[in-house]
Amino acid sequence: MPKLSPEQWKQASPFLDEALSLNAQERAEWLAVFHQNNPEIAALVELLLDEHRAVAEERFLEQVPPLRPDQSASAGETIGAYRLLSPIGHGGMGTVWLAERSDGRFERKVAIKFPHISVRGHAGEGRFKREGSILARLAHPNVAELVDAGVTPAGQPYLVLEYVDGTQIDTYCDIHKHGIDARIRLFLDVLAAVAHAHTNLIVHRDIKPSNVLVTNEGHVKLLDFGIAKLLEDQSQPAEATLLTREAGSVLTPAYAAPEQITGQPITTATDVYSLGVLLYVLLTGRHPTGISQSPAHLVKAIVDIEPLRPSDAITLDQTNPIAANRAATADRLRRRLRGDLDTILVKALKKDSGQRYPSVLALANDLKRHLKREPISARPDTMAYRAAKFVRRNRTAVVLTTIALMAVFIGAGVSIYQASVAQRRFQDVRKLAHTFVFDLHDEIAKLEGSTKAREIMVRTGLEYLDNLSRSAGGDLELQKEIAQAYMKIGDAEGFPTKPNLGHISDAMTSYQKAGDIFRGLATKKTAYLPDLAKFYLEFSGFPRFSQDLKQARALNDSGLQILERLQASHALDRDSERTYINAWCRIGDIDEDLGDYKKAFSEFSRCGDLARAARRGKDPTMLSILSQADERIGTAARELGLLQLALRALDEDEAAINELLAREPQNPSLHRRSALVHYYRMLVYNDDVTPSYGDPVRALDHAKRYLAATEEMVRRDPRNTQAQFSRAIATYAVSFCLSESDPNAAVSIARNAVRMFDEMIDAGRTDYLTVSRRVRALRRLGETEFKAGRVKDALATARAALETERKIAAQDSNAEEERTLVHLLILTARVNAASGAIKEAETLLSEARESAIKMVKDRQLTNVLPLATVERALGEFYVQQRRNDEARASHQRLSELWQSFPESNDYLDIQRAASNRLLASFH
Amino acid sequence: MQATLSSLIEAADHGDTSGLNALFSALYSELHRLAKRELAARGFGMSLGASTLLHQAYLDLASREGPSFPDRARFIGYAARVMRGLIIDHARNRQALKRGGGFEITSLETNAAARAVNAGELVEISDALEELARTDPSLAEIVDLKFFCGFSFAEIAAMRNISERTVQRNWEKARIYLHGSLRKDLSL
Repeated sequence: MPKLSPEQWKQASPFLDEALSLNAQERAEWLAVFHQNNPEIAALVELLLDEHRAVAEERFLEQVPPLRPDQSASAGETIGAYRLLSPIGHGGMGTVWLAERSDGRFERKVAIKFPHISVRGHAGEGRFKREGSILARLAHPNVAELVDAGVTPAGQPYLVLEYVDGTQIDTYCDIHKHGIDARIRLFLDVLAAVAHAHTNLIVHRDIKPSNVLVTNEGHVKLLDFGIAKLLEDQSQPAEATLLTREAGSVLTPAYAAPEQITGQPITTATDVYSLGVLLYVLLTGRHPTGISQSPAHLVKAIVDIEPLRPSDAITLDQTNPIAANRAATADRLRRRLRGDLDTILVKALKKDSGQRYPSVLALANDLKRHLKREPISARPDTMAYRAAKFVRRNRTAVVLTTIALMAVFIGAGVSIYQASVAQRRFQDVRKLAHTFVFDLHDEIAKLEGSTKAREIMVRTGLEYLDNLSRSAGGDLELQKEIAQAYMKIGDAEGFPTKPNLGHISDAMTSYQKAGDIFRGLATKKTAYLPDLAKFYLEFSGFPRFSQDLKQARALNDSGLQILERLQASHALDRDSERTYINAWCRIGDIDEDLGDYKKAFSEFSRCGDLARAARRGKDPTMLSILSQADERIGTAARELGLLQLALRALDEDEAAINELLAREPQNPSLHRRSALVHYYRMLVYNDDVTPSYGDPVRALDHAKRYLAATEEMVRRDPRNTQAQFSRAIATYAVSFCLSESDPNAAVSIARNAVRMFDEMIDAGRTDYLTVSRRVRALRRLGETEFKAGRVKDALATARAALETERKIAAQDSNAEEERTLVHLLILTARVNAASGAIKEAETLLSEARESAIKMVKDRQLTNVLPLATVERALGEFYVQQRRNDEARASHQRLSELWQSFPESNDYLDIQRAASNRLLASFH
Repeated sequence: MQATLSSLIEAADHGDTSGLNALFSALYSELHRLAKRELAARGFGMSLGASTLLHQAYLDLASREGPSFPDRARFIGYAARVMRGLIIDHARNRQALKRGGGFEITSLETNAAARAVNAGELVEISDALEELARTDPSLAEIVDLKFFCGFSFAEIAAMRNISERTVQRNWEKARIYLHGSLRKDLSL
């Protein structure tokens, strides 16, 4: 087929599509027509269809090329100076070929090993050869010589080894029915070879029967000395990750020492262990861990389970082939092993490398003494020691996961290997994870700019805990830690009132996981009830944030009820007591949101009283609760018109926060609360939504201080969305305080505030609070524009704000939004009136009045404010329109409204006086 | 922390060539590692399906990186090309030296009638495929997925959100293209 240019292909392509979708007969007809219409392209398509027939005939590309291990070296190929003769075998490490020198200089046969690693670059090649040459210098009659090491041009490393024609040592002994003494003597040759290598500082690392051959002449040869390390080094480049490390380790688990599995340093003691396993197998015919069911079991056994004493490993079966292969009966074999050999093997097989024979020589010496029936150096384990071991063993539940964790910690450069047994390691990991999730987290949470770091850290800790839990499902305390870790992750992800990353739905998912665990725990054991209660209380933060107040209150109630029951029976510990006290504040928060300030005020006061009573010594947590209670008492008092009381509570709050800050000057949440005191004071002095002194001059100072504090918070941790949010609020607060004295400055500041909210929303923060507070910023902007005489701007702003607020109020119907809606209706009406839209203004005002009247029903002071504002605005409107009777009626209603409250308080007194003055001006 | 695969994929999607290179080498070593591990675990002689490897790589990576991982189809698309690279690399090694770095590309004798592709041809197919990728990348991707990774038409259709018929037709077209260029090359 002539090669098609890309253009030709593109031209033909759509027609080829068409042709391929037709059957043979249709196609022929189609082609005939096509040839007449467009002979050039038709020819191309026909060529391609010819090709298609060939494709179909050949079944071209119908077979997926599978990946298969390479067994493709072929006889006759030359590698370096050697010619490959025949494959000898392959294993985990690679393929092995029998080869001979191709230059005929020696007759000698060699084995060439092609390990499954690849060597990249000249540096890697050089290192491979260099390390190979070190091993090549290891000359001992019982060690198979490493003749050469190299890398093929394709990057495949190879090792040229002395070819040993022999039998695996265990098979050899069985074939020859060697008795125990003969086996030990042969094994001593193995020890001699290993001892020699050790004096050359080479550790074998992979001693196993297939690496210990015995020739027909009865000569022991050890294969692959140091090669495990050589290969491992090659497959661990500098950027080795945990995963490559896992994959790269060339290990024969059955003969691996615990430290090889856990990733601790490999020393000569590692070989002592593997030699112990080999001797165990030679003497008892079975592996010290018994018959392993699975790799996982094997690994667990190596790290965790003390081996059976060799004598106990012999089953008393008359036809035991193991005994027969050792020229003995089972009974005699068992008696032969009992005592010295038990002791020697137990010592060689210690989990803790420090408790093993200090050297191969020491092991050899004990074996030699035993052969001469002299007393050996090793002491048997005492009964007490073994009993302790037994208890420990049965408490332990450690499997592969723990071991994987060890590797992770090594990777992290954290050494936790002081422990010698798995149970200790398990506890260590847990302790470390605990430190990660709890201690470190709590410390770091206090640092600015740490939100992301916290999330990562807790997530890491959680992974460890999760893994641990899989190995210790029944451990309730561990389950609890995991649940708590989920909550911490949720906090960093997006718990609304903590420094967070703004991922609220992720956060809720994490919390729900925690909840499932806590519920399970509480049903298993009542001791976990306080934890469940705490969870409910915390979790309620989410529905509260999304304005599902009923759900939030229900969750809080669940928590509070559990705690109250427990407190009544004096079953609360210190920590749960704090939670209990705190819960009063939480439920008060919700009642406040629901608009029930009196109820909230009493709940906050209850919290404060309990905290004061429980404040033994200088407990910072209780102090913190007290400060929060005072903050809320201040807010609720303000809402109720108790302005003086509010200021006093805020002073107490500030004092408590300062005391806490003296302890922890870096704690961002304390800084935030300290800043908030100014915000609340500002509100007491000047606000139009809640009762206030109406003193913008004194308020401005606090608004500015709040703004400065929030700006500082943003500067320290630019990712902290909460700080951004607070800054935006502070900005429009400043604008509001300036609107009388400097309306133009107030306009540009309010614009700034709106822009800040827009940026947050653009960044994906479309939660209720952000959207709702943006409208308030808009309201402030509209008001200041109006005051600055920019009626047109004000009208646009007010309309936009009103439209959005209608949507918000429809979605999240709560007292605050209803109030805001009324205020926006009033603003829009006023601006309309000023721009001549009298009718529209009047309509809006009457809508505002209707809404405001609905809010008054429960006679809460704050809920009366909108109506008062409407009446004032109506009065103003009628005065402007010269409708004096209606104006007087409005003022009259306003005055009566204030008189209708039976009580007297700071705010009511101010308002009564003001409305009376207004009314008087009409007489 | 090193760059995550998902961030690399993102970079590659935005035309960042260094990101693309990093992505490929990351995927390459990842798949290589998996292949080795599979072989070690299953013992020699067992053939390993490329799609098994890809699925596994995806699961491994997805579970490691958490929810931020981009969609599966894109991952598989990239990984399929990497997989081809892996197979071709070994084929090239084998061609050069008759010794691969650990894998041999062989065809199973399950279907005697189907024409077995040898290592030399594989390399040529890959070259032709590169050419096709320049002319019509979606056709080339189907070859990666179908031939080099062993995905079924249905799987590919689901992955790319097109009908199975379209996948099948595109497969035929790709084969026509490759067969054509291969024959031309052979006749040279």
